[in-house]
Amino acid sequence: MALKMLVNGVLLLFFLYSYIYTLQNPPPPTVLPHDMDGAQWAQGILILLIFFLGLNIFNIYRTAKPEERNVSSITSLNFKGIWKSKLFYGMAIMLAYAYILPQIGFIVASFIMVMLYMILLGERRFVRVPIYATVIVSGFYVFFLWGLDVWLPRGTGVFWEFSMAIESFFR
Amino acid sequence: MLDLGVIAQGFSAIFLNPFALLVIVIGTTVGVVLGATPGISNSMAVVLAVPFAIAMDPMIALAFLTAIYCASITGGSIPAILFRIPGTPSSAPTALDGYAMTTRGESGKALGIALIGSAIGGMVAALAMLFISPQLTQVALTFGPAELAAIAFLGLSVLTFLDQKNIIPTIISGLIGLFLATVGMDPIYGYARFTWGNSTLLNGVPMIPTMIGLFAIIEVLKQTVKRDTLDTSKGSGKSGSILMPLREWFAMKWTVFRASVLGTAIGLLPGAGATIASFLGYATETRMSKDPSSFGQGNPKGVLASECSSNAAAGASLVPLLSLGIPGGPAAAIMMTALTIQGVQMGPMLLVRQPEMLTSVFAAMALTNVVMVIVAVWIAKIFSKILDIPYTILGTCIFLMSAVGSFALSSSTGDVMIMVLAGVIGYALITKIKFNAPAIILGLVLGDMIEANFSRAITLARGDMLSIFMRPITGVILLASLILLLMPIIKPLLDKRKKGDS
Repeated sequence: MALKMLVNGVLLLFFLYSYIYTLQNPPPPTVLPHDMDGAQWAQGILILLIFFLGLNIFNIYRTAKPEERNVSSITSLNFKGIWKSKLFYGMAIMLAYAYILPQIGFIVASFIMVMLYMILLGERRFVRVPIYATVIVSGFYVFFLWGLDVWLPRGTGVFWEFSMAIESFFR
Repeated sequence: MLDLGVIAQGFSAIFLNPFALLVIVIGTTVGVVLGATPGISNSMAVVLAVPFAIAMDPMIALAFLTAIYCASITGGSIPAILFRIPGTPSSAPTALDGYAMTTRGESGKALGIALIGSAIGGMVAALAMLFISPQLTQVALTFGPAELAAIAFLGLSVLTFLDQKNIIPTIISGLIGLFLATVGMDPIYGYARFTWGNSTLLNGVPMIPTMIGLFAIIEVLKQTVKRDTLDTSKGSGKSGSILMPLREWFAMKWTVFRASVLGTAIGLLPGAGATIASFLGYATETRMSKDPSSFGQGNPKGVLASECSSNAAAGASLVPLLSLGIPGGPAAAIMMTALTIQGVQMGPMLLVRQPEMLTSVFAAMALTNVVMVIVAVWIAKIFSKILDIPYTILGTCIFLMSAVGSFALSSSTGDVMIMVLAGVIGYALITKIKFNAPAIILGLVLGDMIEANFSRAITLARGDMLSIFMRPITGVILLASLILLLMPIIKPLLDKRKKGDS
């Protein structure tokens, strides 16, 4: 209950902020007076979102057990446990991969990501991990680059030079 | 209807020409493989085929492109069922029941239903093209922006059917999708909305990466927490069970009929497309079912309805292209460009000057749908073997495939970040707060279409909203949408009152 209330509340605040943002940054006037301007449609959706999120919060509160309605139920959420969970590490690996992909390129970023994620998923034969990672990354690279002519991210600096050297084999 | 001589001419051009037959078999195989590859949309598959098509005779080129186009849409169902990665937005409803069947060990059956269902849908669309193409085109021509906005709204009205136990969170999910569709430039004046200075967001929230994030990434995260192998032990998920007994097909005859007719009707409308058709087909089956709660839990009718209607819509979308010269979507526009280069004049004059072109497309579609069943069953057998790989490797490959697929669409690493964010945020919203992923996708897909057409309708009506709603087709569709939208809310209340009275 506490988590649902918290997330719905955060969403409500975000959409409320977005609505106010559209009021404070109005679009330029339309060419024809009866045209719909760029903000009206979004404002309509935001009003509906605010209404339904409010209704959802009320519903969650109404259907909750009396002991769950306490404010203290929010503080009892186990946030510390999240940092130690596999889920957190999984999300962190994915986010880090998406972040470093433009910098270090597909080959290196994917090689590191595949190794880390395989270990996270429970692969304990550590000698095989880099072998699997090499096969998987090479397979994707060759299929997309050579088979479909899709040029994957090269990275910058030394990583760019490394990617170019690899690509030269396929030209 | 076209005369028999022209029909025979079109058929003989395809069936009596060994090169044409070979080209269709190759086109179908390549189309299924490309469609099954995340990141390769049906329009990209057609683009990849254009250089080869230009070198061919126009009639064979049209048959080749038709084969690639139809087969790539069907191919999208394979990763949706096996890995919960819908390659196209129209495969999203397929992923719901298809993946649930896979986790129960029925991947073969789900693939079989999807492939044969697609073929039947495609055949119905091909028959409609052959027999009532000119008449259907005339009806489709009466649809203006107001009617198209109403059709898109009808697609949105299936929201309340997606999760009848959590109606308010599902409505919020649909609205979040609509909100995400407003990010970027507005469709009429190009005013930047909710970009907060970020240039990547100017083009809007990309649909495919968001969808891959909400489906595939959430699933990988779920499996990361749960177990290290995908549980497919409770049945035969092996390739041998792809073909279902005839009596089981017979039990689903009305699903096939409803989905094919609905898909064909939606596909005829320029711009409406396979996505609305597949969601509407899915929702119609949910509504008609005696056990709606089984949908989303691995009901074969869910897979059948979604695939049958999306493929029927894909086939039918070629009717406005051929008869009017109006491409229904990006893939059709690419086909039109390739054929115009070769001197084929699409539109009303095609029926006058080269009517055999239309019948040859019909013959190619019919043949593609037959070849597709054989080819796709074979490809699906290979794909379903992948499920035997330990999840430590498979899960990692699914993530990598999702990342490359998201990047490949527009060569943007920003799309990979959006995919991951959609997965991470979606995991919290969907698994913990009971929001609904297909509803978010539905809102995101239809948002642009509703807004753009509604804005145009208001401009054309000079701001007179009442005149828009009073147009007969628009009025009827909107009324039907409203009834559909409110039915899951009103029906329990009516049932309660009935029980109270008795």
